[in-house]
Amino acid sequence: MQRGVHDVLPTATHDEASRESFVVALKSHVATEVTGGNRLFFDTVAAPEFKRRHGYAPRNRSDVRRAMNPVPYYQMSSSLKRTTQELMWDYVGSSVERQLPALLDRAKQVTASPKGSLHLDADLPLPRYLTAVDIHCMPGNYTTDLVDGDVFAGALYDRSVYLFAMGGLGAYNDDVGRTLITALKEKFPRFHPRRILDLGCAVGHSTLPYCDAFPGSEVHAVELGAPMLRYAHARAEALGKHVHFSQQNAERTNYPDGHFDLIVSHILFHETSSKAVPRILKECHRLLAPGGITLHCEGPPWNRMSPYEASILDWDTHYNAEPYIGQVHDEDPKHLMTAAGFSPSQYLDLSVPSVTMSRYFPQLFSEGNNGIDGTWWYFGASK
Amino acid sequence: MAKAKKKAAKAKGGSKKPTASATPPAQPIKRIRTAKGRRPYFFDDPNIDKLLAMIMALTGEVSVIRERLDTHERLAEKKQAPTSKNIEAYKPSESVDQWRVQWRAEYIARILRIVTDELERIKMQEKDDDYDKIVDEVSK
Ligand SMILES: C[S@@+](CC[C@H](N)C(=O)[O-])C[C@H]1O[C@@H](n2cnc3c(N)ncnc32)[C@H](O)[C@@H]1O
Repeated sequence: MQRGVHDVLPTATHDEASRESFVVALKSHVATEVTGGNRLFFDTVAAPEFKRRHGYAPRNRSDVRRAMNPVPYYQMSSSLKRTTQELMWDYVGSSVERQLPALLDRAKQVTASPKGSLHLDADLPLPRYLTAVDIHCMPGNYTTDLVDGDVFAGALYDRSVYLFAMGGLGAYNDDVGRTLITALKEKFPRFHPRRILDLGCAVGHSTLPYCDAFPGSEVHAVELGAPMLRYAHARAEALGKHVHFSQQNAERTNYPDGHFDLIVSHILFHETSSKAVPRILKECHRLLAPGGITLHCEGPPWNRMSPYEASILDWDTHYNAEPYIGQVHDEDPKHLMTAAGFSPSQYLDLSVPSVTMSRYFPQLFSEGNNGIDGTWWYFGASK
Repeated sequence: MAKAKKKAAKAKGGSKKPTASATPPAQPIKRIRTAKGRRPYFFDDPNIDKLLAMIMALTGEVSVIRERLDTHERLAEKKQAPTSKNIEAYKPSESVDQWRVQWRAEYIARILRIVTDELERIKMQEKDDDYDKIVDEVSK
C-alpha cells in the first residue's frame, strides 16, 4: 500500500526513507518472529517457575510481568522492542528537524484562506498525564513548541504513526475513524448528525473521514497539543477537508449543552487517567443532544482479557511510557457509561473488523502489536 | 532566523542547489532528543541493552548503505551517474520496492538469527542435557 501524501507531510531524502523502511522491517520482524515466542517461554518456563516460588499460578498482569522479567528471551525481545521504538522517533525526528523551516512555511501557505478553523488557547492548563512523561517515548510529547507557530510534534506524529502501524491504519492513517463510521452506519442507517465532535484528535487522522461520511455536517475536533492542532489544521486544509479544531481539554470543553449529535474518540482514553475518563464521559453526556450517539474506540475490549493478554498491553505501561494503558483495560465500560448519566439500556458495545488492517496485514497484529488483531472495539451509548 | 539561514545557504552553495543528504546545514531549530519517562533496561547489566541499541542502530545504517548501493546499481543500469542529485531523484519501481522489502526482511533475520534460534530449540523440545547424553552414548 502507498502512503497518502499531502502538502504538509514531511518528505524524506533517499537515506531517510531507507531508514524508515528499515525500522518498519525491524518492527515487523520483532512483531512476527520474536515477541510471539514469549508465550511459549511463559507456558513452559516462567509460569511453572512462578508457581513453584509463590505457590500459585500468575493471577494478573503484574504476576505475569514478574514471572517474565528474569527470562532471557523476554529481556531480549523487550530490549529489541524498546530500541525499535527509539529508532523510529530518532529517524523521523531528525528528518522533520532538517526540514522544519520549510514545513512551517508550507503550513502557513495552505492555511492562508482556510475553510475550516483553528482556535488555540495558550493559557489552557495541561493535565499532569500529558506533562509528566513523553507518551510512547515520543520526545517532546504532543505539547512542546520548539518555535513560535510550531508544527514539529504533528509532523513527527503523522510520519511515525504510519511506520508504527506498518501502514496498517491505511494510506492516511484513518482506519480507526473509518471503521467506526462503517459500524455506525450499519447499526444506525438513518442517523445523520448535524454536528460532530472528535475528542483528542491528534493530527486529525480519524477526524477527516467524518467530513466525507456525513456531507453537510459540521465537524469539530478538540486536542490539547498546540503543535498537533496547527499541523492538523494545515493537513486538513491541504486535503480539502473542513474541520474546526480547538485547543481544549476533553474533560471540560466550552461548547454549550446538547451541542453535538455525534461525539467520538479514537484511542484516546488509554493516554489519559482513571480520573479523566469518567470526566470525559460526563462531558460527552452534557454535550450530547437528545437522540445523539457517543462512541469511543480502543484496541482490545476492556475488562475481558486473560492475565497474559493483559500483560502484553501492560508492557507499554512500564516500558513504553504509556502509564495508564495497563489500568485502563481493567475499567468497566458499561459502569462508566451509566455513571456518566447514560441509561444502561442505551449502552453500546461493538467489536468491528478494521476496514484496512484485516485486509492488508492480518498476520502482523498479534502480540507484537499490542494485541491489536485487526478488530477495533467501540463502547458508548445513545441518549 | 530561518530566513537568514536560507540566505546563508544560498550564498555558500552558489548556483548549485545543495541536496539535503549531501550538505547537512547547522540545525536552525533543535528538536528534543530524549523522551521524558524512565528508560527501561532489561538485562542484568544495562550496558547489554545499550550495546544492543548500538548494534541495531548500526544494522540500520548498513541497511541504508546497502540500499544506496542498490540505487547506484539501478542508476548504472540506466546509464546514469550516481550523483547525489540522481540518487535523490531516483524513484524505485514497484518491483524494486518489493525486492528491497524482501532483502531487508532476510537481512534482519540474518542479524537476529540467534534470537529465534533459542525459540526453535524450545519448540523442538530439546534440553541442554540431551546433548550430554548423546556424547556419553556415542562414547560407550
Ligand atoms: C493517541 S492520540 C489520538 C489519536 C487520534 N484520535 C487518531 O485517531 O488519530 C491521543 C491524543 O489525545 C490528546 N489528549 C490527551 N488527553 C486529552 C484531553 N483530556 N483532551 C483533549 N485531548 C487530549 C493527546 O494530546 C494526543 O494527541
